[in-house]
Amino acid sequence: MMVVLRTNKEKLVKTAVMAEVVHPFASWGYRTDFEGKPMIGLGMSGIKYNVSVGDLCYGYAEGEHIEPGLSISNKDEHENAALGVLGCIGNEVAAVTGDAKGARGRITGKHGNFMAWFGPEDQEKINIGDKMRVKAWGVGLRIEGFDEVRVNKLDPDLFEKMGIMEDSGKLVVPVAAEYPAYIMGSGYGMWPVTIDYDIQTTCPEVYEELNLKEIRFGDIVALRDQLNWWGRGYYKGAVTIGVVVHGWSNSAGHGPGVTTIMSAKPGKIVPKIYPYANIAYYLGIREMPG
Amino acid sequence: MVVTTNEDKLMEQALLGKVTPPTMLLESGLIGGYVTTWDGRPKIGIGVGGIKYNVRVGDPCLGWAEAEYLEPGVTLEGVDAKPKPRRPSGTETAFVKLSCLGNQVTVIDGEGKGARGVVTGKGGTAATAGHVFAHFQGPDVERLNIGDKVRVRALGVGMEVDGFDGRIFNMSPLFLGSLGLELEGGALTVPVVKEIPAHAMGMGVGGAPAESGSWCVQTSPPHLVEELGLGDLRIGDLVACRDVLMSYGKGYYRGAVTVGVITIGGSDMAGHGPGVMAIAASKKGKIEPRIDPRANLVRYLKLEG
Repeated sequence: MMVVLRTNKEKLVKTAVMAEVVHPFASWGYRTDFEGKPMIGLGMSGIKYNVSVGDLCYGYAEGEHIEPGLSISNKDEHENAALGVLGCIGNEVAAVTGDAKGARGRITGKHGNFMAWFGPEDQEKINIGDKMRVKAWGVGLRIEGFDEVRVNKLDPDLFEKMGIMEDSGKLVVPVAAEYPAYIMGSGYGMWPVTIDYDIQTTCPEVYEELNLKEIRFGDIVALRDQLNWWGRGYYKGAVTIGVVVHGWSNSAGHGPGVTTIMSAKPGKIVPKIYPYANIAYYLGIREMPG
Repeated sequence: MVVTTNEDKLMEQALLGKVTPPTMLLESGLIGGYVTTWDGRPKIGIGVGGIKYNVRVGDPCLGWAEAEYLEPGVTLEGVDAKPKPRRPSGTETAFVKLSCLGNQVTVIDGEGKGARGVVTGKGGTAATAGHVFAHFQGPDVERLNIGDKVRVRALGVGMEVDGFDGRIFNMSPLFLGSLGLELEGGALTVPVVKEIPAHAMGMGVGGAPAESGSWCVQTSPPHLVEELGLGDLRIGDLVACRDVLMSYGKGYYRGAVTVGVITIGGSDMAGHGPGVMAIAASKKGKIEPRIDPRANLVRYLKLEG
């Protein structure tokens, strides 16, 4: 039986936090891939005109951790810490300076930077350094009757569009794919509130077996035996749900990043495979097929 | 077959370091909050940096009051190391990358001038990055002070085992020679106390190449510790990590084997635990772990109280 899930969204503070579009970084010398081969590794920070939420994570030339669309952060250490904690996936973001002033987009992920999506016409007008205002909303979100399910970095309106249903006291969550604990990489052990962790794409046998080349930016995925409550670690039978936020990697232990949005000990979350479980559809960035 | 190496081609040089002060795990916090454990409890988190009078290599990893990432013996860092967070200087990085297990440490100023110790490991995850651990005998430890300068005779980087289908790291020829390694068909037999499966490996994945840093064996939740018998791990134990490749970085690789040394104590934070510093890795699995409950640095480096 389908039951409408209620949340405490009326009790969540909605607040403005500031960011700006950040320039790409580089360092002298090659990085080294998992087999010891030199590589350049580009795609973090900046404005990507031809990589968007909904696209495949794999295959970009010299790409490493590509952040789709815009990468934004705050240059002040303490303000950036607040942005990192308060910003949630699905939050509204608005350009408040520059040629695109007034344009509105959506937060689509959190890596070191936040990633933001704007419509192509607006994105053409946006420049590096333009100020962005994020209407941060979602910290403290709880699902009524599901206190054992920790919600993290998720805009309440996006939560309601994810097709999540209740069945016999469990949450049934549509996901594009499921992944085992052993494949989770960089970001492991870190604080789920501020950083993602990677699905490792540096063992060719495994990335073929788990179809990792099919992962798309924005996919909702389930992580088995992973608990993201007071930290991030192994817990047999636990299920964590996350959003894929950045691209493929050839650095040992790295790969597409997952911002975790829901997590529970065994028996509370049931992932259900659904090929269109991607925030590009839920946020209206792409049209749902059929 | 007894192993041979290229040790006659290794450069030996001096490094300059100093005894670190104790630091808190959450050192970047404005007021220094509590560490939060995997099950949501606050914990102080002591044991990183400084001089430990009663915690040495060979002691248990778990059970110490309020401790997180407990570093044994005397903690050293590069002589120009600055408070974290910051980018390490080139000399500080050299101090960490070049120091190897078994290298001789000599105190060159202060009340302990002339005392000799030995390198027993390096840190790598969280606040332990940049740290090198040294063992000194009890009477010498008593004469050491925070800030004392030390010289490390660095020897071991670039060492290769002839015919081994893999790579080795962080070992002095002296230490390698003490392990009683055997080579058969390109495969190295290495003594270890335990094997660790990939799903138990946590923080540190994706980190630096094997010459620095470590990768945690998760010591929470309790059902994982019980399942794998991690409760009796000791600082200095050698372990074999299955499907784990610490080489040009740290990541999962099916069939690979990495052997490393547990260099520090455990953790109650989700995804954290004692750090494993790699000493040998083979992408093709050409390492045969031989279980030996006494496979600990105390035995190989002949560490005495």
